[in-house]
Amino acid sequence: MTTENFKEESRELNGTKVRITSYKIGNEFYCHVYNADPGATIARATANTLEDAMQKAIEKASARLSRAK
Amino acid sequence: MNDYAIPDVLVSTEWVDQHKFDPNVVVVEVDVDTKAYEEGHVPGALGWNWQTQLCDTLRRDVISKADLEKLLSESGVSSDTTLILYGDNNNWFAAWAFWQLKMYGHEDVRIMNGGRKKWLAEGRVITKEVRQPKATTYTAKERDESFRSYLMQVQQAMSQKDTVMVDVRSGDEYTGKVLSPAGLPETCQRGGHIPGAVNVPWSQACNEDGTFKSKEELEALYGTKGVEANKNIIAYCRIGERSSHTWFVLKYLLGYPNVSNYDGSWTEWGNLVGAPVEKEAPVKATKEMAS
Repeated sequence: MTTENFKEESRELNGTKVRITSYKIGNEFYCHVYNADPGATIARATANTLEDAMQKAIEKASARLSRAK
Repeated sequence: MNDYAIPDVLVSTEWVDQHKFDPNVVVVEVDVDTKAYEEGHVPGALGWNWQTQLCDTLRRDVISKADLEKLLSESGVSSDTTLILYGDNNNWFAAWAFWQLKMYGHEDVRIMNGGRKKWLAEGRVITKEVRQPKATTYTAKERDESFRSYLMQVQQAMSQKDTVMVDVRSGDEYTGKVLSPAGLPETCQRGGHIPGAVNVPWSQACNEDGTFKSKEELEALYGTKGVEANKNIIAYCRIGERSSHTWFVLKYLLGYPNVSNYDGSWTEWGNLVGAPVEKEAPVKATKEMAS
């Protein structure tokens, strides 16, 4: 199998710069949210659609970043 | 690969694709995200967990000789094995593994330029299958402590003009605006940096695709901060892993002879009673330390 639709974007989440990567492996979509520096994983999610994976990962990341403030 | 000082320490994704099943090659993925390997990895690659397999899990220290020998034996590695490391996020923890393997004298260890991100982005084949290697009996060399700086050496180095300390954390950590990167636990009592240290965030050594910048770009990046070949260079970060990446860049890609990693880093210094702390960037100090 291969990775399909690998994408990486930068955005701000709760005032924190993050990088979001998403891709599809097999029938599953993966999304990871990292802090922009140093790039440690804040949250990750897997789902059957890209939208669900991104939503779940971003919600988890937002919650974690809120707790850290 | 490029005109790096020691170009053999890097291999391309293409090279790994062609050689991943060679009998004398062992490919290992080491990620900051310890779950990433399970999503899929380079066919034949093993996965090492930096939190449990690449450190002493009882006291704060690098992996012991005995544990490294066990890990490498179970991974099917012999002293003449070509060991290829790669990982997520610019090979952050692949460099951590590289540093420790070099401390214990493994001769042929290399990093896949671009790491996991480049492999995935190029749409190369991955698998979830975990290979079961044939065990070996690996004997490591005695640890070479010259690759490492301890607290006392750092304290002594502060007053030496031929030494430059490189804080490779983010600008906000360096100035003490934050005590830890966003979303990570705060592991120090005070923010700031070791007086006199210059700030060159580790990931500036890499391009967007995760590959290392060219030798010329790296020389310029570090040279403007006074980090040059004729200096005794000590790199540090929060717990010593980002600085192992910078150590790799300075020692192998630029070929600077005297580079060490202060793995005690800010979690040691920033918790030390009475240790001097600086928050502002030492503009003058940069030039003075370089001269």
